[in-house]
Amino acid sequence: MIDYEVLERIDPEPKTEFEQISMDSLNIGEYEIYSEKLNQLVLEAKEVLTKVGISSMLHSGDVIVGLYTAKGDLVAAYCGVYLHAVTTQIVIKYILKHYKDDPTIGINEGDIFYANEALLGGVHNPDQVAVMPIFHEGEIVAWSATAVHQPETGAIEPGGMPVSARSRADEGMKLPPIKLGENYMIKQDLLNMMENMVYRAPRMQVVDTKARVAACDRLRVRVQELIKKKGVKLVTGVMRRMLEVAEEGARKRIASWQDGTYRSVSFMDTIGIEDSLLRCKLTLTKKGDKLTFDFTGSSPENDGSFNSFLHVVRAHIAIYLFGVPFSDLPTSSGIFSPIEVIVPKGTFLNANDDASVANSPVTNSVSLSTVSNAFAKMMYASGEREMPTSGFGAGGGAIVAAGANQWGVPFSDMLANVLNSEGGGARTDRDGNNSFGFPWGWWGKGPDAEDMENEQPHVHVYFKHWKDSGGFGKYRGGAGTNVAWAVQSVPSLIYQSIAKNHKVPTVQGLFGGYPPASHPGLKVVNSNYFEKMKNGDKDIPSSTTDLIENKGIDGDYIVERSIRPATSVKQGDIFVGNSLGGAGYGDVLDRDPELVMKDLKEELISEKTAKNLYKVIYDPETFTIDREATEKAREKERKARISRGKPYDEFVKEWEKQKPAEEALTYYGKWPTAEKTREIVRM
Amino acid sequence: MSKKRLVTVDIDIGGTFTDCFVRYGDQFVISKSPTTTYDLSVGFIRAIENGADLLDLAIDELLEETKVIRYSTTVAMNKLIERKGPRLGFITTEGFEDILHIGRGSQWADGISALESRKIHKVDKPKPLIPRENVVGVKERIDSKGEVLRPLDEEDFKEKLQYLVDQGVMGFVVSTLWSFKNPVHEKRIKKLISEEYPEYYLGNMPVVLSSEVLPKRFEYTRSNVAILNAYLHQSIAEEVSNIGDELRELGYKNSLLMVHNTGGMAEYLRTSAVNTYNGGPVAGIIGAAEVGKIYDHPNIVVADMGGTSFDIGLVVDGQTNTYEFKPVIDTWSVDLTMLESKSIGTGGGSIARVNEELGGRLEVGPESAGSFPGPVAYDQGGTEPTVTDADLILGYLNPKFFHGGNFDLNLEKAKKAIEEKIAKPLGVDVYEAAHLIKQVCDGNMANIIQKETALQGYDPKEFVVLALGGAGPVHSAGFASQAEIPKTIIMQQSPVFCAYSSSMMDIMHIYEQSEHIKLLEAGKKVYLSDYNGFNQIVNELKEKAIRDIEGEGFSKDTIEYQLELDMKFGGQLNIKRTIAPKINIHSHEDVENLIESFTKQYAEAYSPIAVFPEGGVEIENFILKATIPQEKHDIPKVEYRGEDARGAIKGKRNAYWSKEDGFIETDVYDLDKLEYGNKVAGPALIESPHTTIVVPPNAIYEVDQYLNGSITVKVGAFV
Repeated sequence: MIDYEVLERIDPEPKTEFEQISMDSLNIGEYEIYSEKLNQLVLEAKEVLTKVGISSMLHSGDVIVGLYTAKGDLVAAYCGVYLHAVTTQIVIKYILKHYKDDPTIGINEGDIFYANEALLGGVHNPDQVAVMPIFHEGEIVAWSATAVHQPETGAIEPGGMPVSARSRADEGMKLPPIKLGENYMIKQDLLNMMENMVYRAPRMQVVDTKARVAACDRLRVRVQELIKKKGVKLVTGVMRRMLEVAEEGARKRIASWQDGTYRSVSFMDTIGIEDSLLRCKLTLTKKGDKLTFDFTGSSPENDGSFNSFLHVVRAHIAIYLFGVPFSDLPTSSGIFSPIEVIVPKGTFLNANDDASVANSPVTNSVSLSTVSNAFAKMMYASGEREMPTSGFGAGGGAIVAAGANQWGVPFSDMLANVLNSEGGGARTDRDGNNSFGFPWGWWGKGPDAEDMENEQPHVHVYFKHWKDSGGFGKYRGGAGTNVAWAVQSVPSLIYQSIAKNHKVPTVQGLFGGYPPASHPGLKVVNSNYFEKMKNGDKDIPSSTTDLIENKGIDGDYIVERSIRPATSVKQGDIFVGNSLGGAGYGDVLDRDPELVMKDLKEELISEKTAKNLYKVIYDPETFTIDREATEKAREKERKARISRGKPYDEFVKEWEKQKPAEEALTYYGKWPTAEKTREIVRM
Repeated sequence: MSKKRLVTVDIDIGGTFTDCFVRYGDQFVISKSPTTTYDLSVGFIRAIENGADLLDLAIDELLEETKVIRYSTTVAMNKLIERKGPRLGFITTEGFEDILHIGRGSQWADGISALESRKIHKVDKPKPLIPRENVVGVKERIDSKGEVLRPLDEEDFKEKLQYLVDQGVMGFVVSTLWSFKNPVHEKRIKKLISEEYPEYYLGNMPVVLSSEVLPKRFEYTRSNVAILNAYLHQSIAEEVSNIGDELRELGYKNSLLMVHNTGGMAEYLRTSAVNTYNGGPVAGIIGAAEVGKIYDHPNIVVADMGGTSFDIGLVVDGQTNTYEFKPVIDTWSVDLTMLESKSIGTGGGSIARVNEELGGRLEVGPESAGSFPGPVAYDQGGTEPTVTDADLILGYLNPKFFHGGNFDLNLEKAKKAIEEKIAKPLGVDVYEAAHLIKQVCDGNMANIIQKETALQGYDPKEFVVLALGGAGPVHSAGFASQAEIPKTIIMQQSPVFCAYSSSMMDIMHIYEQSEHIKLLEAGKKVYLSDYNGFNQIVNELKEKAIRDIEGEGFSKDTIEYQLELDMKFGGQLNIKRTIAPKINIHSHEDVENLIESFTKQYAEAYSPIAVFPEGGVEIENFILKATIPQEKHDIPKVEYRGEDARGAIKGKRNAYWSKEDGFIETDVYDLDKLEYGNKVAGPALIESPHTTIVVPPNAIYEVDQYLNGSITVKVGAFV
């Protein structure tokens, strides 16, 4: 069933004669107008999708609506998450290759296909995709597709991304492309099957499946209307041109950069069920108009849930490329023509078929980080100063709540306010944006507390920027957020967290900038929170720092890993979460003291940071800076640094002797090269 | 004088001019007066006086017969763009002090184009209207059921209030969680502020409660609306009270209505500041759709070039009732019902400058000289060269016939300014410099038109431009051809079109309230049986409407109600606005009809595939529209008089059309003498007291049966 040949086919298929004729027949101005028209149609379908669906991930932007050529190449997408736009090509190409001529399946007008199998074009099981062929006079002329992350899959834990999964068998519903409907109608028996498999949140599964199909169908209808009005040649010509414009643009831009080899390394601190360092090593080679991303040297696969497949790594590279260097090019697969991606089989980024990939996007935060940093180096070498940024916070602060809500309806959903507020990376001339967004789909919106409390049986104790979370530097990484929920109107609620980086931040700073802070998991059980609220006590905490430092709430404080398998939390007890800050840029001693004061006033940094790290001397009452004293303190620190310094060779000698503790290297591979050291047996 | 004739006055206060449209029985007149930013009532009254003059009436005679005065204003928008609002404090629930600054995460994407928002390394969150240091969190908490979880700690609040006052804030916005469900704490906070700081102590400092301004769910958008209201309140309040006072002194006793961005209007004292945002342009879109019906042009770009800004709106397939899907005011998401329009800072008063930092690039706008001091040519102390100065130098404007000759323009001063500030740094002569200013200005406007048409997936060739505003007809041939739109319509009322449009609008108030009501239980056939809960909300909203509308001097019997409900299938986060078949429910059948109506509208909007009543059917918001329909008028037609327009020539003037040809002696026509059927081939200039229609070479101007004109330009022609 698995077809590795199709999995590789992410760049555009060869141009057909009809595509060439269609392109040649375009009049001046038609490409500009109708390429934008196609983008607008995609956008309209996306509005249908978000309006109709239920899950909070829809609103967080973990969605795509994409338009594909007759052969399955992506030409326009609303994202959302570029991931799905890229990988859904594989689903379409698989259907074309294996089902078209199969008499038991076939592809007919009005068919609705559906899939979520990671090895057949998915990302991980929660990401479910609906696909419809668009016909004109009996021929397939295009495809429409929609994908949304479903926060429940019927896996061994609620939430769709089981932290404790050991193999793919633990991940819940896995659908290879199936024909979910015919004649524009969904088959009720298959919907019943899904409802049964995703038993923790059946209503959500049904509604969101319908939402995917409805949006897909809207795009199908609109494209057919356009063909009726302007002809199939125009639409085909414009679609092919969108692929070519992207490819030409990408090649031209790549050619303008400095040839060279650029390296970057990032680390993970968990495999889900237990903690271990994992290394992601990227060697980016740029030659002429080609780029090669080589992840050789990354840690071996593990028997936890933090693994990935190769096409998912490619899709993560696309997130960066479409967001930064190619952000003005069409969102089409044309950009992949000049790009090669090498990820050795057996590494955690390209694991074997039976490895759990339940958390493959969070795993790929290492790809996001290394690609961003390697690119920053290449941009610098090329004299480009606007594009390089420090890494965006990508902790994947996904926290799931599940159970029956206050209206008695079973639910299982992502708590999306924290997820959508990771900090932006610092820029070369200014700070990163605080609570920037969701690094996998930047445009998503976090829900309001009132929105969540309307449908979920807990209250927010606080939700605000997390002090000292943005990586320090001349320019600061954007702050992340911290949040706490107290279970209110039900006896208990299940919480689960896949947020990592409780020990080692994945994201790295640039040119002396600090990485963002790490954050442990925290719970307060047997708490007297609601009693204190009722009494109107003054010492109820308004941030995590406040909660820990002042312990205003009575109860048992449990400090644990940030990543937490599903656990039951009782009424009145408190579950704490956070999103990560972005990484910093440049030397802290170069930061304008006025900006340090502004950060203090806005509660983005602590006094300790202002004094000890930024070395700013000021009046804490009036925030008036003593400039002379500040300069002296900074000069003193510079001298101290020199006195701590060592010749480079000496430093390397000492550095090479350093080794993390053995227990941190369980899944790392051989130190320091990360070669495979053992066989993994999955059951 | 017959007392039966209908007399109405419509005013649009723009950044530079105050426009006036007077309907006097079967006649109409248009007039203008410079906007007096120091006291808007002065320009307001002058504009009416000018209109009265044209009817040979004294202003009090006109006002005595006037049944209604309606007006729109851009003051709110200008204050916001210029960030000239008061220093405010924000009071919210402790632990949520960052809600404005987190802004649901990707706040940076609000109010910018999709293309701009893709560049994630460049985007920035907007500068907050209230800096974080002026935000305090108070110890209190209401829950989702509206119950008090934590009582308000008054002692703590007073300390925080003192802190805000020490910060020098000039007003307070209070937005606590779930206050729309239970406003007890917000109300108490307001009382405490007035007790601690009575009016005489702090002066006129507004305390705006989110639960009063917009009692709807979602703390972020509710807070934004409350902040915008507070931010704009003072300027609007001062403006309307002065205007009201002046009109009363002149003996006017009837309604003074303000145009809202919802497409309706209401009595000025019952208008909140955010509703006036963009009122003029919204009126223009509604007026344009009416004009489109006459001309059978379903697709119109309404392009209004005034002194300060260039506003555009679209009529697509004859429809104007497309509300902003994600309404944003400036960069702030708001959960308001408002019509869509876009604006850039380019107008006759836009200042031209040579940007030395960017390699000596010529830039036009967004800074404006306004009407005081105004362009250099106004000779009121302005020193910065503007678009109007350039138009004058190019010969397009007549220095002796600006505003009908009531307002002389100083050509020599304009020349000197452009010579020194633009021509010399660029190394060109003053005429070429002036022509470059016009081209850059036209290019800026063409870009936004293209963005809103081609880049929205519409073909500009299928549109016509309706050129509005005093400066619109001067530039329309230029910007329309650059935007690839071949035809421009110029109405007689074009110079005051937004004012004219408000004469075609109905009085309408919109009242909104969030309330979670289950019409149908999930998975069961259990329907709502407590009709009172539903009816009580509707009746409360109706009472508000009756109170407001009776206060405006209309009978409650003339009100037409429409109830819209934000509804959803159970568990969904998003809602679908649904028109309710009846405004009250009294039976099981009514409930079923409402559900059926929702399901039908839902299926039409999205897809029958997505319908899911098994999940339950719920209401989230009630929106009651109360409308008083207003009398509409037809535009009179005239007889065909032939193509020959020579009879309307009033003289000749040298005008500059291109660097190659320099000045060409150009015919000048009198707009008022042109007749149905007349054709004027460019280059030509057509003058009226309020505007000059510039007909470049390669263009032709034709007069139609309503005495309106159109310019047709060869697409891509250099104009």
